Amino acid sequence: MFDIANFGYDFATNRLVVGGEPMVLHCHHYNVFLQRSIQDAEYIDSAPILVGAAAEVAFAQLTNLLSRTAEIPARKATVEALYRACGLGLIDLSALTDRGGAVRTHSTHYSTGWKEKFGVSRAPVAFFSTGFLAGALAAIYHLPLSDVQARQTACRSMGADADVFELGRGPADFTIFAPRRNPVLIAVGNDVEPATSVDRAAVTRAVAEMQLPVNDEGLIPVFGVYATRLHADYYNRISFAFEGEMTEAAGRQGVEIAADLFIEAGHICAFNTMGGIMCSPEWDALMSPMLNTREDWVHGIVAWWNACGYGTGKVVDLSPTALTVRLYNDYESVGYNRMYGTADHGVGYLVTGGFAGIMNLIYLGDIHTKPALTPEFYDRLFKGGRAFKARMTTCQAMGDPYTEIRAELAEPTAAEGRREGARASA
Amino acid sequence: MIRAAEKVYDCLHRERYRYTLGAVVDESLLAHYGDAAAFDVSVYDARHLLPQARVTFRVEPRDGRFLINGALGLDYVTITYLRDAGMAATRSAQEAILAGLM
Repeated sequence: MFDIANFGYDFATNRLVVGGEPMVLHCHHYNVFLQRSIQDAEYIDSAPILVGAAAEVAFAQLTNLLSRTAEIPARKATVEALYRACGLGLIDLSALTDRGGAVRTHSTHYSTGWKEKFGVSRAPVAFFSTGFLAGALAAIYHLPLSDVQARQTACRSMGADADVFELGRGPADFTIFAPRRNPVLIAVGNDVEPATSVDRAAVTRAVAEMQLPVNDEGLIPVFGVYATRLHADYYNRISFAFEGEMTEAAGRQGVEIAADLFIEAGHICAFNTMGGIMCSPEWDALMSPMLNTREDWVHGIVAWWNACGYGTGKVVDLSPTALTVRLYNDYESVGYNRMYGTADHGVGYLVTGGFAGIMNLIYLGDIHTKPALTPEFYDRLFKGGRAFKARMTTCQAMGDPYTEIRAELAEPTAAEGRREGARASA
Repeated sequence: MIRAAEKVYDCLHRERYRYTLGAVVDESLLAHYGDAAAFDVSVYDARHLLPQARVTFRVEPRDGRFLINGALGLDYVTITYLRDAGMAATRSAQEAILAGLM
């Protein structure tokens, strides 16, 4: 039986690889915000991208995981267990045949998360589950991914009592992407980090070894959010495919629009996931004796960040008004290189928004006082004028030896001219 | 003894409280949830890596009506309640347990 605990965390690169796919921790705020940002561009047909990206990673991963399992019931059981371990919810594939079938469930991360964050939806929202099931059908029955179809016909986010997915055979009704290359990882540098009372390596190890509690609904309610452990290349594919579509539609300006959206998603990630962590009893239990200054809080949360599968972050410069973080094998860069080769612009959007968000929480939001992480607080902290803004100074996806993020406290001015996220040399 | 019960914002539309206690939490709290058929209790001890760390725990009944997060040695726990018809009774029962702690 599949057990995600059998896949060890790679502390040399700070990645978790399951069935050949790197897996990363995110929360429902980030997941549904990123999806909605992509869907909001109505002039782009995003549904085939969202479904196709999930189908791509699920098919690749399950083909790997099922390679030594011959019996169909056992193959289905592995798929169901993986889905649950990811925090995606519950699925029952017993009625599935090689012709397809219906999958009905009362628990789906995206449907639940969407309704929690945005309220009732006008259309189905569980694109990841749709694509995952397409990939699963193909992998279970040794079919080409291009020969399966999948669509969601009912969605709990719309008020239905269940999510229903219809699977069938025929030319794929989602995007089939060009094959990815093998990932290229680089050696982590021996950077000197500022002194701190936080034992960074031990914290990363302790957090990575902490089991995520999956409840009876197949969801992971932790740190005040619904967490998931999903495929890094799902996030990469939907982001970069969207960015490509935007570039086709609007040229270089399309890249900038996409960057703004993805960096905002990074703020959302920092505020909710990292903020939730820093307000949790688990944080107090592991970290409290080591936290004497706000700088210790930064070192502490970067150590937690390194346990999320995102790659290795190192703090190389830190003051109350600025942070420089150097990232090795950040998953956006590694994924971009696998999918599209060398980038001609910085692609570290999550890390750009994420580290600006962390600085906002610690130095402006007084996260040590455990404030309520409300939407109003978010707006005050990120849209109220005085705030940390970050930019990429290097990016591994462009051939640089690491990705580096510089976050600086920016006072509001009458004419704000600096775009957050732009690479310094761009 | 409960010193303070502070309602905490919960983005999952549940009700969450942070209970500050008169003393630090010890194993006597977990003893109330020792029935493995009724409660799922998980603990995590990272002291082999972080000697000063505290042992964290989470308690969830099989029916999922509440979730306790805390750590031995901290003077507070958080309890998250599902919003349903039985929430008030569930909350009263958990608060009675906390109030009875020394």
